[in-house]
Amino acid sequence: MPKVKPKRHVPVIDMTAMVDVAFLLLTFFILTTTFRPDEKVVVDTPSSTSTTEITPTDMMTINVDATGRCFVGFADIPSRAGVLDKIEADYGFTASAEGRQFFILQTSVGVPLKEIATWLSGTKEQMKEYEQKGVQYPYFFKDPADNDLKRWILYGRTANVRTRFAIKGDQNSPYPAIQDVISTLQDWNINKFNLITDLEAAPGGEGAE
Amino acid sequence: MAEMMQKDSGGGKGKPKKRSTRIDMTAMVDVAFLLLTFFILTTTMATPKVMELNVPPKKDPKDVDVDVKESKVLTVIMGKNDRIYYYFGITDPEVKKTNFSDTGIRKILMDHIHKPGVPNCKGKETTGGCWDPIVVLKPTENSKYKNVVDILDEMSITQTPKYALTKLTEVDSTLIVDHGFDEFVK
Repeated sequence: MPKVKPKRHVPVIDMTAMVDVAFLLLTFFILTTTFRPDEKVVVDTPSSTSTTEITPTDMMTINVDATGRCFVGFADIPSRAGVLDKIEADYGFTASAEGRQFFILQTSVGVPLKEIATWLSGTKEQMKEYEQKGVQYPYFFKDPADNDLKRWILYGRTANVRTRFAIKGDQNSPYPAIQDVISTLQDWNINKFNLITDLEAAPGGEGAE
Repeated sequence: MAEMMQKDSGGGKGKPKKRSTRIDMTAMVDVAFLLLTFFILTTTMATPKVMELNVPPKKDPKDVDVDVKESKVLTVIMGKNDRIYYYFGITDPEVKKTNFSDTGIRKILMDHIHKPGVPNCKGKETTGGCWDPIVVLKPTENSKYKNVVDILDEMSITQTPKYALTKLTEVDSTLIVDHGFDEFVK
């Protein structure tokens, strides 16, 4: 009599449920993820215990990097288009369709207003590679008569009346630079604005409200 | 994989062959998890936080200066290398140096703002009876933006009801130099 061989079991795992979950999560993360836009300026914000969250709509962000260079950014595309209309009207040029498209996709701009026409007349590659010196404002350009930032603020507000303002400074930005930005905002009687910070844990005890 | 290797025995004529309905999902699962890991790692859940800052309107020549009691005022000056100078009052004050630590400026602020046994006015205009301290913040040309955010943060941590962010005056810099601090030495 032949020996009874133990029956060999093929190890089969039913993966259906696991795959379901994996794809559900995958779909969720794909849909919720937003890639960080290509920032022209590196800003490492200081941390604070403030927990107020920002609603990025209608926000004009004034970025100031560690050296004091200033870049302005508009949160929504209609505002950017409106701002470009104002610049075109004031500086007497009309951007090409390509230039307009490029401008609208910028999250922050640091080209002096006088150079915008030249900047937007180039090819896509040239526009991308254009050296952005930063928006002219008193701290960086030392010419108080030529305060581009003041104009940008006006453009932002006229393009979208609901525009609010946020200052995104680097930890190591010299304070006089921020002071000049604040002072420019105050020139337009904008006395309420936001400082963008990172979250840091609040100290225990009496600090918590 | 194993199930794919099952041979169809018999073959050819006779009964129609019974194919296994199992699909090998291993590769698909591999890809799904790879993508899942990628998206989990790259996603940023944290939205930026903001600190609201209200500044007084630019000075109008018609504005009247309000006199405050000298003893109420604590002046905090943010110097270079994260230093803090502070002094109480205006007349011939003694300038001291401190830092941004828990035992530094925070303790000084807490002691100034919350007097034991005396109710705090909490910024409301009242006619005497309560303690109504004022903190004046003066960043210098050497301060970093971080210092200003930190000190504003201290204001909210210590629940300072009244504070003002102003410019450093000539008097302040002279005071610092007179007290032997090398703040303005190049």
